[in-house]
Amino acid sequence: MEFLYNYFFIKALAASFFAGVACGIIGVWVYLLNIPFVGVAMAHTAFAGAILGLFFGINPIVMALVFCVLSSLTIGPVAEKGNFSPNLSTGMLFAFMLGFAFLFMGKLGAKTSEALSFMWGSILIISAGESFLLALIAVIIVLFLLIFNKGIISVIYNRNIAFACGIPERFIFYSLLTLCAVTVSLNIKTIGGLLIYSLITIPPASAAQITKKLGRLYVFSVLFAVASCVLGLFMSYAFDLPAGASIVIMSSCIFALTIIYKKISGEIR
Amino acid sequence: MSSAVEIQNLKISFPKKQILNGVNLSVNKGSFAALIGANGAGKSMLIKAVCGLQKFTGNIKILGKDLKEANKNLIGYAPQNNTADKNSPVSVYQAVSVGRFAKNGIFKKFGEEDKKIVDNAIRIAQIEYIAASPLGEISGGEAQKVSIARVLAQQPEIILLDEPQANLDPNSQKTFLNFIEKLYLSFKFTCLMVTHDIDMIPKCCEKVFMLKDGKIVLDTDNKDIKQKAREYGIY
Repeated sequence: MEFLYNYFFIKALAASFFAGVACGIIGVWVYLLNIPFVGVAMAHTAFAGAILGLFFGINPIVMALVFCVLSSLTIGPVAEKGNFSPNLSTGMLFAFMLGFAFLFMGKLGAKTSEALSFMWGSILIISAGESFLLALIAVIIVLFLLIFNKGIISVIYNRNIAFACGIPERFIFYSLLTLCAVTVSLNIKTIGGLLIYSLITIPPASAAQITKKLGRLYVFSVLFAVASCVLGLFMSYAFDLPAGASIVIMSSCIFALTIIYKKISGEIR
Repeated sequence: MSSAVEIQNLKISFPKKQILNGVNLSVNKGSFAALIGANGAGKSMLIKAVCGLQKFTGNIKILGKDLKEANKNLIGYAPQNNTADKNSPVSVYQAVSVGRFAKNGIFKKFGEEDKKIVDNAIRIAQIEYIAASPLGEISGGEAQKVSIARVLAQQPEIILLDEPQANLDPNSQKTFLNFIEKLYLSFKFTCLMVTHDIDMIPKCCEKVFMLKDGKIVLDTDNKDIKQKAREYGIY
């Protein structure tokens, strides 16, 4: 238990907790709005932004954040103007950003290994400032959920109906996308660009196996995301494994357990 | 009598197709009107335009105000397809409450009065037995009733019903029609109902608009409506 007194481990543990809270809630929105591509597209957008940051010598996290927020504010309007599903505009964004990322990666030279660390993540070397940012975004997401819960329920229920009866549907929808963008970009260093997508999609999917109530879906999704992060971190520390990969493996194990639980005991109502 | 909904020269078009080509109609405050036409005539497009969900040219006035300036929570909209995603965890009670969120705005506390109104809407729509169920687990007909209950909870001035009998079997269609009629006679809201089925026009309907080739070809009362529709090649 000596590692619990290790400064790096404590910072990583705190970061895991806040990443879990943020991803757990964001994941429920992505799951219920049926826009699973958003997670993966944002992850690659953050990756492209970080690589561009490295290339020009700008803080990669800041560039990832700028790229993600701009993209989140583009997906909705592009889909609306083009009269197609947000999933299609998200898919196009994903493809473009992936190409963009690899275009600049080929020109990074000695910085390529640092760029690759944004794919896998390295939660154990996270700075105190980065941990604070993760805490901040987790608090903002929880506050947004509490303050705008009625609007979020309306948008999840039916976006057209919400808009037709005067609920600020567009503000809510774009805010959800932006919060998703910020969460993904801030987690690119902890969980990694390739793996953060799993942490957004798997916990709500696991939660949906054992409950069909909205409130409980949030609770279970956050619990599973936090458990994945914390247990993954312990696994990584104990067996000297990559942290991001360990977190995703834990998340997948929890999903498997919820499937088994559902088969054995039915859904909790 | 003043108009609750007034549409002038409404045009809706797609790149290679003109859907509505200069529609004019007016629904009086407190009256029940039906808009009939064949499938694909543009009835749902018209309703969506009134809700601000469809781009158009022309003028739409809601209670005397231009649509852009009108308070949108004065309109209760029940769309044709109310079936939720099978994974939707939003409960029937929460869905009906959306009507209150629209009425009060999303920041006002959901108080005792709101709870009573939602409970009452659920009771009137006879969906108490599924109030706690997630939308993903209810039938198409039940979803239709949930949509009506949500509109009732919103207490709008104008109700727009888009094919409310859709997803219902013939027996349920008649029951639902009686239900809509009772509601109208009890609350006397303004209602514009869209249907392709003339048998679904309730007796309380005072005005019928027939839509054909992108225009209103007949604006009439509810008498001998089948015969009139036949004359205009709609039925």
